[in-house]
Amino acid sequence: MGHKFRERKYVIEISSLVTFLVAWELVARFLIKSEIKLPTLSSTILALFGGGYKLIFDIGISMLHLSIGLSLAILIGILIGSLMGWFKIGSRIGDPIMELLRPIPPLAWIPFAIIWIGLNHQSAGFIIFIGAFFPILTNTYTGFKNVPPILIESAKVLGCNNGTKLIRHVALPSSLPFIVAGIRISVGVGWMCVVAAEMFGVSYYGLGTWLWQYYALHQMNKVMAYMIVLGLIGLAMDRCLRFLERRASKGEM
Amino acid sequence: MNAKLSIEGVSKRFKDKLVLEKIDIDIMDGEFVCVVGPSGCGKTTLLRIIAGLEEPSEGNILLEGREINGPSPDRGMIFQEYSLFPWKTVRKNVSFGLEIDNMPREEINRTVEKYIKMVGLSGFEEHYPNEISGGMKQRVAIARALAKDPFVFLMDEPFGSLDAQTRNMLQDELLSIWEKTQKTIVFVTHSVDEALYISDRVAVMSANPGRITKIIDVNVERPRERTDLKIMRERKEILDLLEVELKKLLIR
Repeated sequence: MGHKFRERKYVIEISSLVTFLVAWELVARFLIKSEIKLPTLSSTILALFGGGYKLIFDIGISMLHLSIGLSLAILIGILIGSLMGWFKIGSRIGDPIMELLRPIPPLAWIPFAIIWIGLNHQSAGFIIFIGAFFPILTNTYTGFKNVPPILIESAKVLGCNNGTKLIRHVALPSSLPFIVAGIRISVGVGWMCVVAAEMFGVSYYGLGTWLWQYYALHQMNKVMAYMIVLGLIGLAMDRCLRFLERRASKGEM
Repeated sequence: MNAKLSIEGVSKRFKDKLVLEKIDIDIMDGEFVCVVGPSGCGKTTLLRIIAGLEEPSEGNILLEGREINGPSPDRGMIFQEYSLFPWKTVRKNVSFGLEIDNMPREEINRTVEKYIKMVGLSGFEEHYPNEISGGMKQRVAIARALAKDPFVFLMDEPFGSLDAQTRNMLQDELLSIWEKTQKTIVFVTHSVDEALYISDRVAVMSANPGRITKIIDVNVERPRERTDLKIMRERKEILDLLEVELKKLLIR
């Protein structure tokens, strides 16, 4: 019975999606009748597969930008977040600066990114870093601040008595679920920054670069195709990290 | 006979509040001592001072004649709340203290296996804390402390949050572990019956400030019956002492 119910639920979800796609095709084809205002589903699919290997390069370069920004954010975010969460003085030193910088939208950094770093991959990575940094910082901070005192005391009476060991063996693993959740949020934010970061011509390839290029050429079915690719990759990354997050919270990492 | 653990004139103040006043007690090697008292009498604080997790405001704690200095595995502690590392399996929890010391892998495995077996958890080595019951968690905590081979075993109401059956069972298991390992145990509880069933001596504490009002010898052979009439005299004596305490609290 449970199995049947599951199957039926699946059917509803698929039909919902199919209906949406069919409606898109019909509305675009018979109502809007303009490939620029709303490209049809069929021409979008053609655009998706019609470009050959170029799409792969675009995805690759965007992934490069994301990984530059993300790895920096993970490294620096965990470092500063743990210092701020572990040492009382750390949060008092870091808080005012972080609270000042955090509300600045990542895209507002673009002019300085260009002046400081130039028009290159690192520059796009920097913008993504700004977006991805704060969720990791705040989550690491929360994790380290909320290490259950009883776990620290247990470790102490078991001979784990110095700060470095306590951080490595207790605080870090105890904060890991928070940190992984922070990384998942950061991947989402970072991915959103990719399009804008590539907007100002940092590289020849890139999903964001070509989203703008195709817009300039009024090839809106390609723009739509790239939007769908951006969405699908974002979804896939989120799902993977949700999986890791569940494992981290169970302690299986 | 020399004392294994000497508590000499220990007082503890939190800000202006005197929590413990001049606690004096010598605990012999291999002795099982219970500390009972009303809530707020500072019995947990006393245990934490012995563990080195709190500093006494006055007085000393001597372990084998040497003054203690901070927490150390020579005084193993079992907490009332569950204190296992949730990200580690049963096996990894028990081996934690040994890995910190960089003990050789083979020796770790042997030690861990021995103590997991002693607390009756063979077969659960790969389980995570959230997959086992409360009683099992406390057994893992006991094995984890035993693995470090402490001189003294400090237990802070370790069975307080367990149901009555599990609690009785763990008391019996603790007694058999105590007999096997000959450890010195200081066991804090608010249950007079628990104290009389398991210990050699019961230190009765009063509150505001926390003081030891009387130390009662339980001269009853083990294995004891929980309903043994021989214990009843001591039971009445302790309950009378605690009742006086309770009245003091009510009058205030």
